[in-house]
Amino acid sequence: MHSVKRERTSAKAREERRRREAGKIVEYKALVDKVLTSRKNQNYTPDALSLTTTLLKQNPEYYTIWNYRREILTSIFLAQPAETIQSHIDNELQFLFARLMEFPKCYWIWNHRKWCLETSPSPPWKYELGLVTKMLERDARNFHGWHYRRYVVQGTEQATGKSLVRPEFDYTTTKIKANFSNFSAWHNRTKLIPRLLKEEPDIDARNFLDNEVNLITQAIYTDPDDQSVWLYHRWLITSDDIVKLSSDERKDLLNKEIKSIQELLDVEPDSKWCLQSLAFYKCLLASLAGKAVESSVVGYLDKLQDIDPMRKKRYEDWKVQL
Amino acid sequence: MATSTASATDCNETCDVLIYGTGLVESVVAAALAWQGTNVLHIDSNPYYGGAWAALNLDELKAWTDRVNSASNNTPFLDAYLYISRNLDPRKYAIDLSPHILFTRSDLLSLLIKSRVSRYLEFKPLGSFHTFEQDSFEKVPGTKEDIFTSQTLTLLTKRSLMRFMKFVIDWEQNTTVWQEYKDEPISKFLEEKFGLDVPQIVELVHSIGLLPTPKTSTEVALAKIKRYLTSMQVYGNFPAMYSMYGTGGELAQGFCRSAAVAGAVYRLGSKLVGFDETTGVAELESGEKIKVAEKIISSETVATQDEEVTRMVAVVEKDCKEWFAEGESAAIVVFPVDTLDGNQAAVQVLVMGSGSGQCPSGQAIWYLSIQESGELGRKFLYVALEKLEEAILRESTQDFEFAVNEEEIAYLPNGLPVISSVRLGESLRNFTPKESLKYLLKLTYSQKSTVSPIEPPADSKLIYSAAPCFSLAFEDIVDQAKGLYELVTGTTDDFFDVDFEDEDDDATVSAAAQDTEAREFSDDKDEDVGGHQYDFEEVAGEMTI
Repeated sequence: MHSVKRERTSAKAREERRRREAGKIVEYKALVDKVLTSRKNQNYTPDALSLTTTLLKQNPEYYTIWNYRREILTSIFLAQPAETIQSHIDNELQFLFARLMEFPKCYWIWNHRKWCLETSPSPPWKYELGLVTKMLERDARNFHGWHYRRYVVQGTEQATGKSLVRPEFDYTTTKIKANFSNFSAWHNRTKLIPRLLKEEPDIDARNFLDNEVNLITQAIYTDPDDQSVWLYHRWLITSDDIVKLSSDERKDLLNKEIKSIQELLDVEPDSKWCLQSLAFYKCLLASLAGKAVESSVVGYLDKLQDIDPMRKKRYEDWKVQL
Repeated sequence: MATSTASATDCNETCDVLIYGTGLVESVVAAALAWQGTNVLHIDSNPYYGGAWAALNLDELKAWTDRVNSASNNTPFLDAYLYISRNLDPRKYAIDLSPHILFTRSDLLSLLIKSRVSRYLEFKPLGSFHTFEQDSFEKVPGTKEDIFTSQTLTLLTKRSLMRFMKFVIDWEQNTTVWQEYKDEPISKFLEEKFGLDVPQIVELVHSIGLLPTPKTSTEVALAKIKRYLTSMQVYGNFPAMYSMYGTGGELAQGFCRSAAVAGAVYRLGSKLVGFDETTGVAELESGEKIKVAEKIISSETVATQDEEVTRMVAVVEKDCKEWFAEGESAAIVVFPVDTLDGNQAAVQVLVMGSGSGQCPSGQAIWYLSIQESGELGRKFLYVALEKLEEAILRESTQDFEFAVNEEEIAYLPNGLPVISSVRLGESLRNFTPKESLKYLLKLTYSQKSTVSPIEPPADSKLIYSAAPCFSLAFEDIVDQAKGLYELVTGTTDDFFDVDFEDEDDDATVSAAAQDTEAREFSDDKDEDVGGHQYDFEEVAGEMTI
């Protein structure tokens, strides 16, 4: 990693470090024992809470301790007025914020945050949206952030009664323009488009689909090795949730895309994703048309076995099923 | 720095190395030698630092013009013609004699950071590179995102460009691809090996590579193109920087300051009139004699080559902000070969807004140059100047309108309306601006180059440094400095090998600058979402394919 000084790892330095760590390990194990015993004794006091704080600061991945923490909080919240609960929740959110900065990809931290929002008498949706936007600015590809964002948006929509589909859709567009190598942004888009088209009936759905296909094609041609753009392409072409296409329309679309990908394959003959997609779409086309699969597909699968030997058996399987 | 007034006749001063001229390379060497314990005396005949790299105020510029045109001219410059409008405050201008930009991925920037000289300087970003194509200035796509979002490039062009960019990041390793084209023109290589079209070739050669002509050899050109693209990845939105108040001169001063901290002695306004090889005594105009123990490094180079660069400086009464990217105060415009009635070399323009500290607000400085000599060079510079004038008047005017018929509008697949560029070009060509451009200063001059490095005769104590290079970017500064350093000390092992007082403010800057990962054009698969094994399954499970 950057900006971290590399210490000269002499044998002496290594020995020194091992000694320091050995001490830390003993301390840590003692703490864990203490916390687990406390839980076994059903200790739900503020002191117990402090213990979990110390332990979770060192190891936020230990999800059992988060469970225990929630048991303690639930017990504390019993028969308490809303203000007290809210004040505790606010502390929790602050505690979690610091943990998130250090471990932005830990499931259990995000999970506990969600629990806080669910337990809060008045969840701070606006603040949460701001927070998750900041997190995604630091790392636009953090899928935990995107998942949490969907939760926050949903909560906001329920609280305000207003749909956020359009601003959220535009947000994915911004993120994609900055770096289209972002599976989560495309994925979020797939969730938003069906709702968007329903809520804005003025949009011509077919035209919308064509624009999206054009957009993803730009990305595919710019970087054919990026898997996220191919997966989005596949969703666009095969999904029934965007616009209802007749069988003929679907076949036309498939043929158009097959041609487009073929042109790309001509200039990038070793593109794994071009070959896979062509094979997939041609099989799909065949099943829609009720005809046999084109012979070129076997050629693609053979080539794929060559360039992608790790999945050799998978392509073999595929060939057999043709 | 006081002028020497003593008229001592005995040698009351000694030094190990005498450096004559405070140009950029000489200043780097001065600092390097001083930090290694050498006793350095660094003098300059001018009353300012920087020599041929300096940025001058208007009074200094007038004096410089006289010197250049006089019989005793010992600078690399010649044929200076200067016009200055009345009522300009001379101290509010810093006219850069050898304008250069600094790429973020460069030896020089690394050295600036390592030596802490960067702390003396204020740098600003430069991310706007334009190519003059078909009567307008096109912004150059230099990143994956630019290419992706471009509305004008075709799909296959996008692919070809990306494929080339991925290759060029690592071109030194991929010798099989370019070896046979090593000495062939870069334009031939780009066309034949990557199927690129003329517009892309022009942009890559001129605005990204900053090359004077598409005939430059492939090996040389690829290095220059790579420099731009890898520099884009250091700080994000821009590949180059410049320093306030004139980059070359400021950098030279910075290194001089560093040398002084290390013990070097400085004297401005001190002219060297003689040097005796046998006794090692140098004589100044003041009559002072200095005993030089080791070597003299002089910037008054004797050997010159035939090549010349012709330069023009124009100070205009326009802020030119239309040409700058958001948050920036400078831009580069390149007129490719054959866009100005037959120019065989590109005209490169560096536009400096008032944010550069070189002129007052509401004005800008246009630095034009062409690697073409004398009358012909000046002719093309004037044509380019006209085009720039037209462009800035057109873009900054408030009342440019023209009527468009419904039939003339077509629609792109994504719904964006476009007007035929021919129609637009016609209107632009027929546009006569209501106002004219006011020039506050105009300067033209020529500059000669020198051979570098200059091999001195075997036992000579006198070493010559080279004059500033013609390229728009700093090139080979560190290599030249190391070359001179080696001629003095016999090695480059201890060149700036100093442990400066360690604080970590520059850690992130230097880390970013030294990061060698070329992530953008290499395989940037979205699979590495870090850590958890469940990642892909959970995510893929959500997306119904």
